[in-house]
Amino acid sequence: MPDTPRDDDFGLIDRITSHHREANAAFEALLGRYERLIWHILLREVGLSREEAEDAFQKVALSVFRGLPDFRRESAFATWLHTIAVNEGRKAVRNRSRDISLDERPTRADGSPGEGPADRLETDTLSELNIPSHAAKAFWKCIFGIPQIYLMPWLLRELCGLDYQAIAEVLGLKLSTVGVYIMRARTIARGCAGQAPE
Amino acid sequence: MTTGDHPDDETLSRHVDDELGLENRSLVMDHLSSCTHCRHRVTAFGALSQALSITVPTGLVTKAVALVTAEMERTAAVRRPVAFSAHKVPWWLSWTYRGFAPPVLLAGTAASLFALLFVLESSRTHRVMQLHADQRVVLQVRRGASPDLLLVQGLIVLNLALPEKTPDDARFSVDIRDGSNRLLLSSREESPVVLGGRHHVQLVFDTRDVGGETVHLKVLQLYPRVEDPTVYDGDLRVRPAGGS
Repeated sequence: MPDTPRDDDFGLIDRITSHHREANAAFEALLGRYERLIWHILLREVGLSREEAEDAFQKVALSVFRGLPDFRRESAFATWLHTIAVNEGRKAVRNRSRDISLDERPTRADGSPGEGPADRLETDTLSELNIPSHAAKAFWKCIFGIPQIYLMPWLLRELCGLDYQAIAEVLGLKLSTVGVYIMRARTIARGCAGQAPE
Repeated sequence: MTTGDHPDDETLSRHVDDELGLENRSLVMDHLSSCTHCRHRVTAFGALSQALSITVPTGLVTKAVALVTAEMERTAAVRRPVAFSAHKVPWWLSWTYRGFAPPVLLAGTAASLFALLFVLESSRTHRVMQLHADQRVVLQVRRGASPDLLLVQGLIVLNLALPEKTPDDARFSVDIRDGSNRLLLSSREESPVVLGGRHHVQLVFDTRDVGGETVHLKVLQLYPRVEDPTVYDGDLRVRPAGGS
C-alpha cells in the first residue's frame, strides 16, 4: 500500500515553494510521480511526436515550477497538471503548424516523398498500441472523449500505478467512488476498442 | 456484486486492479475458473491496460529537474529567507514582496503599502516607486495604466493583468527595449496564468542589464486575433539600487 499521495503532493509542493534545501529533490519526486501521465497526454491526447513531446515535457516542468506558488489547491494537483500539460502540448502543435504544414511532405534525395509530420505522428502513436493502425486514431479520440471524471482515476491507476486509496486521496473522492469511476472508464474504453460487452 | 450468475463489471474491474477483498477475490477466482465468458471480460480489461501502458524516455525527469534547478538557483538569488510562501497569501496581496524576513517585516510591509498606493494612484500621477534592490516584486500592469510605473534594480516579476475575457489558450508576445532601442527581452508564445481568478501574463525581467533609466515594454496579443492586439505599450522607469 503506497503512502498518501495527496498529502505527499502537497507536502512536496510545500518543500518546493518554500525553497527548502531539498526543493529540487522534492520537484524530482513530484515530476517522477506523474511523468507517465504527462508523457501520455503529450503523445496521445495532444498528438505530439516523441521529439516534440520531449521538448514539451521540459516546458511542462518549467510551467509547473513557475506556477506552483500560485497553485491554490482548490483542485487536485493531477488535474491542474493535466491542464498545464495540455496547454503546453497545444502550444507545441501551434508552433509546428507554423513551421511546416502537416500535409507538407519533404522530398528525399532520390526524389521520393519523405516522412512528413503527419506520418511521424501516426507512427509514434501506433508504436504504443497493439491494435490495427487504421483504428488507432479513432481509438485515442474515443478514449479522450471519456468524461474526465472517469478518465483521470483510470489514468492514475494505469499510468501512475496508484491504488484506489491513493487515487481517492489524490482526487478527493470517496474510496467507493473510485472503483465505480474506473469501471465506467474501462467500460467506455472497451467500446472504443471494439470490445463492447455482449 | 453480481449480474445474474456473473460478477458485474465493477467487480471484475476491481479484480483486475487487485482491489477486491480476500473473500470476494476468492469467489471471483472460483467463478473465473469455470466461466469462459467472464475470463474474456477480464482479458478485455487487461488488454486496455496493456494499450494504455507507455514507455517514457530515460532521463526525461532528470533533464527537466536540471532545467528547473537552474531556475531555482536563479530565483533563489533574488529571494531573502522566506517567512511565508505565496499560497498562504491572499491573492489580493500576491503582488507584494514575498521574501520578508522577520527583521525587515515592518519595512517590507511599509514598502508594500507604498506600492499599493502607487498602483492605485498611478493612473492620475506619474509617481515613482522606490523599492529595495533584488526584491521579487509582482506588479499589476493593466491596459491603459500609467506607463511611468516602476523603479527597481534587480530581478522583477512583471504581472500583466489581461482583459476580462481572455481565453485560456490565448498567446502573447512581450518585448522590452532600452532607451537605445536595444532588445533586452523578447518573449513569444506567452500563455496566460490565472492568479486570483484573473488572467495574467507573467514574466521575469532582470533590470540589471538596463542601460539608462527607461525601458519600453510592449505586450501584444497574438492569439486569438483581436482588433487592437496591444495589451500594453509604454515606458517603465528603472533606476540603480539606492538611487532616488
